[in-house]
Amino acid sequence: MEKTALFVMDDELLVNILKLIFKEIDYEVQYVKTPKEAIEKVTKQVFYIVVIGKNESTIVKSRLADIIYEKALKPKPHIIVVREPGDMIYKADYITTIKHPTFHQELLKSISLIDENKKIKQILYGNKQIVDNFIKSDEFSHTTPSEFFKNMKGNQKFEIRADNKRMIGFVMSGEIYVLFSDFQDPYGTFTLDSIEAVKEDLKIPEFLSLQLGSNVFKMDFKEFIYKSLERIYDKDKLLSFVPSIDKTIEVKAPSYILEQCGFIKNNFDIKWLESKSEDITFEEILKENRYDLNKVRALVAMYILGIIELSKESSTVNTQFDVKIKKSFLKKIIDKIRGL
Amino acid sequence: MAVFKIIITGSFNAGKTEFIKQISEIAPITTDKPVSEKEMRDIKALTTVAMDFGRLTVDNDLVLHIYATPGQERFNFIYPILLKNAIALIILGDITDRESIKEINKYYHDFYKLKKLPAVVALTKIDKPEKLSDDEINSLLSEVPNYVPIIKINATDKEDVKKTLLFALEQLEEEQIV
Ligand SMILES: Nc1nc2c(ncn2[C@@H]2O[C@H](COP(=O)(O)OP(=O)(O)O)[C@@H](O)[C@H]2O)c(=O)[nH]1
Ligand SMILES: [Mg+2]
Repeated sequence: MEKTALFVMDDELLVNILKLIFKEIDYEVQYVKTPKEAIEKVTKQVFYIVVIGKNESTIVKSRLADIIYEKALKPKPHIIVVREPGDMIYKADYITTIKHPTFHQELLKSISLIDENKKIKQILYGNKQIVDNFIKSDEFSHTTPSEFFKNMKGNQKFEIRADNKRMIGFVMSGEIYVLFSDFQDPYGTFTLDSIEAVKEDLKIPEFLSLQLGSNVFKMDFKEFIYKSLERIYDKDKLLSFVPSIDKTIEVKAPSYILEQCGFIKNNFDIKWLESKSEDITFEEILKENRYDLNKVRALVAMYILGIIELSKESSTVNTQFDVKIKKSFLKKIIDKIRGL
Repeated sequence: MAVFKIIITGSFNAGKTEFIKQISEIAPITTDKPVSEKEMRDIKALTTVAMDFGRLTVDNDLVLHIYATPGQERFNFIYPILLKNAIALIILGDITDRESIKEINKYYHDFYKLKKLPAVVALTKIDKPEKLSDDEINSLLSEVPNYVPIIKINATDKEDVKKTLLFALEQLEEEQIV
């Protein structure tokens, strides 16, 4: 008997790609866009696999997986959840999760950025007049992208220049706006070794007076940093944004901030991370996670964003011994023993 | 909460139990001080191979665990866990017992291979009459490097035990100045 797979998702391009893959391994494929249709299907017909992706409903994927599994005719299907950032999928032996692929969207986006001369389009998100008069200062300084963004304050305008390209924008209430960029996309700056950059304060009245079109690139600043790091695949390059990884980390941001960040939540157990504050080095976290690239990115992003800080105190007391303890801890222990 | 460990090793009868008794709070299982789940897991895993366990609360988020362990090879699998967060090694030998002192060489090298810890060799039972001479001791301990302090103590004396621990820990401090 031929095996049958059911897709519950509304990304048609992805469905078509998945169809190709499943047909290649001799599956018959069916496809619905809503949970309701999916449940109708699984109560009438046996499926070998049900793939749940982004679909036309608000029900969370975990819950949908549960319902489908419960309602499905026996023998029950295996469920593959296509997980997007922010999705929480519990573990069960009948569920497998895979990451939502983005290459098809990336490909489409790249193609859309080619101009009529088959060169990369200059991207103007905002009104040209705003862009031209936006930055008043011409005191550009030589810096690295990570340094530059690490020191970015709340309400600031910025311009970044490198390789004859520019990016102009500002940060306001935790969001970054890009008015103009002729980098391939706004996330590209982190791949540069050095930049010329300038910052200026952005006053609220000026912000309010900006006539921002709907095409202005706008994104949560934290996500922006993480997404920028996602453009980097070299672990050492990522770690070069951190001054020294043998220092103890301290979690500075409150729990709710950590919870809000998809890239933190998806990569770390937040309770664990908080319990390790001041008790584990940057390097030890990475080692425990076998330098998983996404975790390296998440941790580096947390450093750039000031969510974690590195202790000034070196945790390695000396090089003669394999001992890691903060001077202050060592002093407390010695004082305690002296006083016994 | 930060947990650091001090490892006490040495042959049977060398005085490890006595040593720990001098500085440990009451056994953590019976104390009313709450022990975190994580700490409890460590203790349980390690006390199956360590003969004695002691605990010293330094402050609300800093605790010292003291494990006495026989240097037996069949426990090798546990050493990486035992040595995690370990900050000092105390090797005991019975000053009245030639074999006990001889074994110190091996203990020192076994641990050194796994983790370079500041170490102190403490020869116990200094209060007993039938002690070995310094020359004998020195020739027996020929494989312990010179920079490892060798001291003579009474393991039932709290001040001696404190002194031994401080000799080990202060080695960590000294280096900082350099
Ligand atoms: N007089 C004296 N007795 C000691 C000393 N250290 C240990 N003992 C005694 O020697 C015996 C063995 O000590 P113990 O701590 O159980 O050795 P362990 O096998 O290494 O744990 C016990 O009877 C202790 O009381 C010491 O420095 N002086
Ligand atoms: Mg004993």
